[in-house]
Amino acid sequence: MSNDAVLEIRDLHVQFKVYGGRLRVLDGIDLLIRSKEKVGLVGETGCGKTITMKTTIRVLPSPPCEIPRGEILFQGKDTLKMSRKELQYFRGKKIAMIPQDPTASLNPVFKIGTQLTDAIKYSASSKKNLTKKRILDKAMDVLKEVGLPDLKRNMNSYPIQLSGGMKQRVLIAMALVAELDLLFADEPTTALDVTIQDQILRLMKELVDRRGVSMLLITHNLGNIRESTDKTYIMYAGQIVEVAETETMFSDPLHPYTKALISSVPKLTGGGIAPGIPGMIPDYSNPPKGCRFQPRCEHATKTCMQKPALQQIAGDHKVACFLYQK
Amino acid sequence: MLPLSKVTKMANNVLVLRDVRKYFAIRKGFLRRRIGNVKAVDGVSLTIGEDDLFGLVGESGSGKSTLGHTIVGLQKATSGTIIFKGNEITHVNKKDRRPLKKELQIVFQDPGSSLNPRRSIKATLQLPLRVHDIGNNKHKVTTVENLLEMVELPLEYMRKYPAALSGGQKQRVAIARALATEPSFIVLDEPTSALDVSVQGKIITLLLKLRERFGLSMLFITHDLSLMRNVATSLAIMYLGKLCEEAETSEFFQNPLHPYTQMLLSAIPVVSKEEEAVRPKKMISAGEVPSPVNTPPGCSFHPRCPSRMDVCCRVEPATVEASEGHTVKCHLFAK
Repeated sequence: MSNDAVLEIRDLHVQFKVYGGRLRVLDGIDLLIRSKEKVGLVGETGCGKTITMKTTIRVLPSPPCEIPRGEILFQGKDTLKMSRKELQYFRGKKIAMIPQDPTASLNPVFKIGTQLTDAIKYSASSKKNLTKKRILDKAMDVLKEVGLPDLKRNMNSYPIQLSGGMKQRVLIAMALVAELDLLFADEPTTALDVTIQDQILRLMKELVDRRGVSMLLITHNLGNIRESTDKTYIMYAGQIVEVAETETMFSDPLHPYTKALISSVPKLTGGGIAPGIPGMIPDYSNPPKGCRFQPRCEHATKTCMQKPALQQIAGDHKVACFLYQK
Repeated sequence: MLPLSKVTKMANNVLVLRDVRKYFAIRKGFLRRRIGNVKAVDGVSLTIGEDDLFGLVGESGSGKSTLGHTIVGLQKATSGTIIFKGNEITHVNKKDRRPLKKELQIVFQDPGSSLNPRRSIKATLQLPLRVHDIGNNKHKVTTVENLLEMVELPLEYMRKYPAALSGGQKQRVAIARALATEPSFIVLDEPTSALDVSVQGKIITLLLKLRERFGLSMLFITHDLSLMRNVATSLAIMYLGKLCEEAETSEFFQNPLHPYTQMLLSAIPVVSKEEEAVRPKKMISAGEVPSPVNTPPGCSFHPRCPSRMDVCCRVEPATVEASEGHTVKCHLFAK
């Protein structure tokens, strides 16, 4: 294990016990986030991106969730073996998340100020020195940091009185009240317009850089990944198919799925629309054997019925595909 | 006003809008007195020719969906005229609207909520045939089969219910339903924004194929400019109920004029270096769309505009033709 790793996931399997069988969602995920690194996790709807994150902070209810194999090392400690109390310490204080839908993530019956000061009280390392005035000052400071206008009025507003972009700023502020080590952003801009999306992503990048926090950005928008991360993981149906530095990933994608995904994005330079990828994401109760992309892959051969390992191509660039197996 | 070049090719225009407005009343108190208006669509004029795929692009709340709904008759225009194939259809009564509905169809944004979950795919696709009394029972079944084939779904899907279908498949059914009455004009209200890119590719390819096969004209409502770059013949940008720029696609992307267009373009996240080269220089996007209840005086974009002048805060700019077929509503280009 490298020393500067903040989060390291090794061979993680996650399945859900449902009526009539098991949904094998994650099939051996390996993921590494180094200190101060901005990592992107990309994949289509239902490929297990959010499950990966939720397993890491252990918020999935069990049952139905089962973790038959795997390790999740956060700063060297396995979160799968942590007690409730230890977990509570990490969640909110060391790890925080920015959720996808800002409207659904703020409580509609409490004022912004109340919700934010609650987060500050909860994340404080000691309850000493926690006077009302200090809490309020801190709240004002973080809101200023995320660029929320008209602080006094907005602190006294209810979520419904704020626009989507402003709500997302409040949620970012909430995530940033603690001295974080790792920030999860689960599709933080999917619900927003492009100009607002641009503002929010820029803000997040700035804050993460300034505070030296590591970030995992989960999204299906490849353009956002390209513009705000250092390293990218491509995920398909619960398997990591390719990892590379973001620039390499976009200039020189290797896995057939990555290639198809990048070519599916409509380009500003024109040239028509790629016809997409044939077939559909598999049924998790009976996933395809071996490489899960194999039924949709034009290069599929018999060897693909075995699971390809992530093979190093160069430096950080790894791909799980038999086309590149030596 | 319509620019001259547009008037001359009026002959084969399918849809012409002139100064269309749609206001929603805000009412208050016991007497429900009108205390204000939400100006969802505020004076839109545009022309869509035969075989055109017209892209209407805007952020949420810009009024693009309301405009689409007004065109197909789901909303009544407050003022202005809508001319479809040479006939005015703004104030058509309920009885006369029925044959019109056959010609004008719409595909909604979220296929999950626009299909009735308790109706099988067969029943869903037969409903428009029943309403418009097309063919006998036997013919209706063959039509449904043809429709499914057209949108590339297997025939056994007839007996399925929407819950058993994926998002892309549901959208295919919604497209088939719109095509059931053999319309000549379709409004597509963000048909792919709820779908993944790989599925989007499939749906768009299908739509383009169908457009060619049936000679359909389309109004494509979306917020995705890169998508429009690849499929639209011409497009317009909408901001707070008004069109701020309109041009043919190639001209539009070569020469974007309005500051808002440039802000939108520069905010698009792209996936290659080539795209970065064609994208306008990074403009820091600031501010948010103001409320359509209290639109700013003068040019409605002026609070966010980086090239704001004094006149912008007072006078609403007129729509001027910057080059042939390229109109822009901005004081920077006023002659």
